[in-house]
Amino acid sequence: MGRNVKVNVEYLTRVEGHGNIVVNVKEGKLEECRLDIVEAPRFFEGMLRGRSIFEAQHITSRICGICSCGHTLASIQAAESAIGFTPSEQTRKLRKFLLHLETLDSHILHIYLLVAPDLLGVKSFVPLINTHNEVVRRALRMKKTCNDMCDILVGRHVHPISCIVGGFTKLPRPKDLDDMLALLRKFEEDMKPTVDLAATLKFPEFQRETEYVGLVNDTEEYPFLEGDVGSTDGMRVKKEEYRKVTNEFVVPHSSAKHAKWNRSSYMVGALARVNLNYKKLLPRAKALADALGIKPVTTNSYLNTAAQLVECVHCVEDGIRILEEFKTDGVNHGELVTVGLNERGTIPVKAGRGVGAVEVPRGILFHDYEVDATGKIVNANCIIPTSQNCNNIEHDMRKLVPEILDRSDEEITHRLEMLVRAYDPCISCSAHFLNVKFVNR
Amino acid sequence: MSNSLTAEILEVLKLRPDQDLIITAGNSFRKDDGVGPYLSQKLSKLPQIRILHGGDTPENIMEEAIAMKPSRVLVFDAADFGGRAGETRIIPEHSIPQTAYSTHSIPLNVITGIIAGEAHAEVIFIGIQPRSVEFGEGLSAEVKWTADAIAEAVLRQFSG
Repeated sequence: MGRNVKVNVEYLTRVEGHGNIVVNVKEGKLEECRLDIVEAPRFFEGMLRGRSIFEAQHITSRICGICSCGHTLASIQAAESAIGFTPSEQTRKLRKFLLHLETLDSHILHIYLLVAPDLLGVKSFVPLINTHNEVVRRALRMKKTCNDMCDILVGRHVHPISCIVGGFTKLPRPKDLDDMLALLRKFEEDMKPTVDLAATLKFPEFQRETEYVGLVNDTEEYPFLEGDVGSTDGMRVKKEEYRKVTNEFVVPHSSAKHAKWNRSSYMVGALARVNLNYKKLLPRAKALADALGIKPVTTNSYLNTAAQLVECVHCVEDGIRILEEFKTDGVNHGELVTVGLNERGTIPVKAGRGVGAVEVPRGILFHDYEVDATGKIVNANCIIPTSQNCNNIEHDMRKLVPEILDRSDEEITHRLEMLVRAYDPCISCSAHFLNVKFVNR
Repeated sequence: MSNSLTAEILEVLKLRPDQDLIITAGNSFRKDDGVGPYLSQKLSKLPQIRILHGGDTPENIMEEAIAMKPSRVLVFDAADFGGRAGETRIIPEHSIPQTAYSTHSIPLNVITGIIAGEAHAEVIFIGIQPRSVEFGEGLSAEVKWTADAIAEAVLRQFSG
């Protein structure tokens, strides 16, 4: 007969938003294991109804301060697909670079400020200011570097202004390219000690097979911005068929819907992307993945953080490549989109439906708009990565808890918190989430 | 208006331009939280004053602040200490919570703590009680009056 233990932790820290972990183990038997999402829904889809597709990206970027570029790009992609507009190669390349900047910013903050304290045995990054001062300063410096590049490219470090349906209202001049390249090279220098630090961190052991879902394509490119939706179970559908993937359902304890595809749950995010597209990682990123023990299919969710580091190396390398290409080939300023011209018919509008599927830091993000003949949104659906991950987190917890029941209450709680943090959840955005409640074990 | 600046605040506002650094924080799209940006705009007119506006990402001005090597840092921000709208107080550093952070926000005092440690600077938090920090632009009359009084007290030292 197992012992009974009661653990109740109010609010999981170092995640965005509020949620509770509830675990009930009675006489050694797991009776309840939940991730309660307690944030109120935010009704962004409702706000989009009746608004022009040309302003949708400015509205939806407010869903998230960290993924504002990702929401902008998913929104634009959905809008352009709905009206049948095909962006130029230059626009697609600039959008890819913008997405890289956001991925770098978000991953670095998660690795350094939210996960590293667990692995270094402190409660938050605040004590690290005294013990690992240079590490904290480096993390904040890297974040600022991303913000500064974003500022140059799209006019602001958050909630981009110049990235709109049709292209960009401001295109980088030679000095902008030089400045961004210098900043990205500075970031690359800071990546070296970041990788060295990561090599010293020990992630918890845990294995659970699940389905990993993300963008896939038939090119050599590691897909962030475009592709079909694929899974490690060999499934692949067009992005327009994303509902076949998400199969959302409501659970009573969560204001975020749950999702499942071919199994009882699936995972999205950096680990899913690396599992799906490992071969397409750039050489230095692939070498780091190998060094960190990440090969497809890696089934330790804690390694999502390590996969984020791999993606950082990839994004820096690819970002430098993009900037250097622009420096060599030049930027065609004839493609500049003038603010307001869209609304006056420069870009033909027609009724239709369009889906945006973009890999944002926490996983695949879907925006789905139905547009009338005037370009007004009549229906919208946004599916956020964290809400897709909630179900998988619960399944991970159900596998993990019985495996660590010999540990102290404090250790169990900590491991559960670390597990949820590994997913880098954005609860407010999912709201649609953490305190841990154990009742008896 | 009844929120005249206290003798304590007026004493703190006596600047030593070569030693002091002013940091403002806040978001002008959240009504009285815009008091920091408002002060920044007013005081930036004085070339003698070293001032950095941290907005809602104070971590982004951290390295610049350290490089300035100030011996004293005055931080202006809206702070709800339960006072009258527009009232100013020196906020003890230990009373500012350090726990509420995520990838989305890093507490101001964590950043000023790093600046203080690296520059060996004294940090003084001057909180201005907001009437509202709801979404919206423009300061309440009380907070604007106080911000103008602070700016005036500083500008007066360098006029003529």
